[in-house]
Amino acid sequence: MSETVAYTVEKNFFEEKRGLFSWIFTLDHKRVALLYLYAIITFFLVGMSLGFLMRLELFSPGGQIVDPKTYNQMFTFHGVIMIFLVIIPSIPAVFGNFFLPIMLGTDDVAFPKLNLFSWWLYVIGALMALSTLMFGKGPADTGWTFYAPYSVTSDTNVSMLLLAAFVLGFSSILTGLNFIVTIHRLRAPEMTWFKMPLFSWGLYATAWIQLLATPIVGITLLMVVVERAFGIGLFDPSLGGDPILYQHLFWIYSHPVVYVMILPAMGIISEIIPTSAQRVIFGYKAIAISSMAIAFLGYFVWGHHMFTSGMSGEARIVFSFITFLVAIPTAIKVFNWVATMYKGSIHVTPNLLWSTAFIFNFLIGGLTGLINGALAADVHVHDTTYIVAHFHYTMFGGTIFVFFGALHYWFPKMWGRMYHVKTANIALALTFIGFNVTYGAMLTVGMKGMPRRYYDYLPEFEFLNKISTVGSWIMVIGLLLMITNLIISRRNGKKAPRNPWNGVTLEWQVPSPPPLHNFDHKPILSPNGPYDFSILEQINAFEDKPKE
Amino acid sequence: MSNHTHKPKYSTDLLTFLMLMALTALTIWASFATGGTTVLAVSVAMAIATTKAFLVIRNFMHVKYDHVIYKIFIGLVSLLFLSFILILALDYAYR
Repeated sequence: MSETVAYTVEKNFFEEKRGLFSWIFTLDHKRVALLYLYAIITFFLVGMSLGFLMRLELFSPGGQIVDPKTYNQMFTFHGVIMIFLVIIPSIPAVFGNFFLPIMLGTDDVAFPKLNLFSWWLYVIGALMALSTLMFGKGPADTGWTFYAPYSVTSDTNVSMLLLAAFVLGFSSILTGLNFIVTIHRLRAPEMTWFKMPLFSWGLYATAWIQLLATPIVGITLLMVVVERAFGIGLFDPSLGGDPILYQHLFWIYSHPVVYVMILPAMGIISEIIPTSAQRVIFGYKAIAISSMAIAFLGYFVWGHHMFTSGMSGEARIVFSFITFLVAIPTAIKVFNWVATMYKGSIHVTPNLLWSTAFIFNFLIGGLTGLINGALAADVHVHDTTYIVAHFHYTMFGGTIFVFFGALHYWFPKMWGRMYHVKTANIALALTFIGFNVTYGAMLTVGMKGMPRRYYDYLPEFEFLNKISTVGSWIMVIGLLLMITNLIISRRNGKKAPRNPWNGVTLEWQVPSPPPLHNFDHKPILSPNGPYDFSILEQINAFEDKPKE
Repeated sequence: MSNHTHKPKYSTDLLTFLMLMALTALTIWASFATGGTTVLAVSVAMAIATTKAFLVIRNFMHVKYDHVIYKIFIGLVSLLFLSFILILALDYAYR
């Protein structure tokens, strides 16, 4: 047993300064992360409520609670909020901001002011999106994809929503830029590339996509605004434009962006699983390189969203082939996670349960994705609720499940409190069951031919729609229980130690919550990489001495 | 940047500026000479614009004097962009 080393607890980053201005003008990466978190959770609840109402509307055929146009506006707003305000920023902006500098052994991101600016851009973009509810003919009714030519001709507030997405894109670009520079320039001196934690690799791959792909959608959305405002024929065929060009430009960004959503989540799973299994991750380099491979290949598969749009046959074959290639690095990761757990000393914690739930959901999401990637099968399922369910299996069952898993994993570090484990497990069970009932039924009814984005449906689809709606009730109860548990634990939970899960990456070496400049001693880095559990005793020897 | 091995000269900057001006004039002349909106006109304009972008990145953005890693990344991004255009062209050519 190594000697215990006691450190006087400095003020943590909550105690350093107080007051509203100390938060909204903060340059501390941890506070910026929490600003994002509170905003994202709020928007998640808004988006969830819209989804809940949509499921209520579909409980039975015919009109239930809203009219068809409002239904179109609801699914558009649900999509825009969940994609642009929740899923894209969720993991990078919250956990990336909070933990990347700590995991690299530094005291902040490379550009703290740019970091704060990107949060402000996020808020401005969010307010612009919300403003579409207040004037004219209400929020856009085009779907979150804003397909032309309808987005050019719709009389709803499409232009403002497009400008909001444009501003939000800038926020995303700045976050990506900040992370790339931080990873290149601010790693601890002994931390070489292949000694970085895998979450950093996930963020690094993501940041390149944010930086390179987002400007394309930004300019594309502006082109739609210009077409709406000045009647320039870019995408509308009646003005001499090409609607398929819009789809190309939109998906050149919007397919890579699903990897912006999922790669950081995969990075977090690669953190939680070794800690929970108390062993070195299986295939570190394979996981790190597969993140970069997914990011690279992800640029070349956008056309699989357009198999039925009238694209050339040759292009479809190319896109279908490359789509299948993406499955390889993804499968490498899943294999390595399972291999890490195999014969590990597994500690079943809520964060591990969220992670395994993610693997289950993501397998379904990934395998249903292969069906979409196959040219002939895609024609059958295109524009059905099968696609909606597939997307939710990857993005909700994938990214959002990991987001909540990460919240449970790092909750003690972020707020210095433990949460009620039994309630957390019940909440996860309800969310997991509700999720699979909701989207499992949607997959099935979609395969039977129910179209997506339809307000009404044929009587033969009623039974599965009812099951799906009941599933959404279970899921919402689970999610609300989870959020309530965390809010109560934030105030009343037991005080958390430095290293509650016996992790070995650098964030477990700092106090909970961390002080303003993160480290109160020189961090210990193993020469054998970030998941070397032989240094656990040394890490756990650090102990907080109460302030005198 | 601390990685600079040579200090950039003002004369290089001035020469680059003059070359950019000359290429701008060439773009205007070429648009008349090639018929304005023909495939040839667009191709010539794009070729001149690409040359100008190269000069700006190399000299004004000091990539010429920077670490090789930046050259590699810029090369990769350019390749990526070229791939987008090629795949898009594939659809347009065979649609």
